[in-house]
Amino acid sequence: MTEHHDVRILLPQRYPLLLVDRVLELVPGESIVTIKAVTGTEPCYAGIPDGAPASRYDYPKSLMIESFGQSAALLWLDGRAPVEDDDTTLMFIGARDYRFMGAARPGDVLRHEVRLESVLADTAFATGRTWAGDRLIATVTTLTATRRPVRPAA
Amino acid sequence: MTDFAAPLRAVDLLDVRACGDDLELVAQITVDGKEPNLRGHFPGQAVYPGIFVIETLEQAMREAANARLRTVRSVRFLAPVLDGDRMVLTATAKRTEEGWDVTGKAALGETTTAKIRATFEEDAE
Repeated sequence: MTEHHDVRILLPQRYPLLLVDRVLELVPGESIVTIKAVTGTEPCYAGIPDGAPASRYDYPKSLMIESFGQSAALLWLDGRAPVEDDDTTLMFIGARDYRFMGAARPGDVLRHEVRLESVLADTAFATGRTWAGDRLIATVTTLTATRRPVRPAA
Repeated sequence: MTDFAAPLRAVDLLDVRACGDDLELVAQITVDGKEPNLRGHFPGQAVYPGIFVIETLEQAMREAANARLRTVRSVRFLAPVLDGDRMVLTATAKRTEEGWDVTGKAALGETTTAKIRATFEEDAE
């Protein structure tokens, strides 16, 4: 079990774009299970007018992908904090077949199950699914991440 | 602010043209490093997250056709989009029985920064 204060040490993202609350299970080099609670106080719900239909509260798919991607990054980092003088960070560089079959709304807890398929040089390929309680809401065949300098070469 | 759940307003100019049954979209956004999300991605170096390219496409399709993202068939991020950059996302949406098949390309000037293929469904709201 990795708590949020440790997640913050491992990932470079910060509020409001740090989207993993807790790691439930980690099998190094193999798989990870993480959770991210969705609440009515998320910044993404601030502008929704009273009386708007329920579907307006569907948690943004872009953020669901980011939350899954950060979970995959935690699996790849395997508890290793970033090196001080390393200017590279894990970048999301692609995905294949990311399907959404449901939505999360305030009160739901996203649970990401990620498996590391392969690592070639500095590029990792992950696969997995996202649940909201017992509802399967998203699956992804391949998510690809690599180490890249944050600042592009001039 | 948007009146639907979204991390940010990801389109500031949208041009939609109908070509027969299909749609041609051009969505633009200038990356603002002072925007709260960008402050967190990453502290000291704003990078428009790859996921926000997907958000830009979703907001453009929402406005153009009241459509919702169903599947990202493939997406590739080829170059970073940074503070102050003006990203132009050009996409073609083809009508299908379920909704739309969309092929898009994001660019900074002549440089392609992302390629995406996705399917969308009509919103039943």
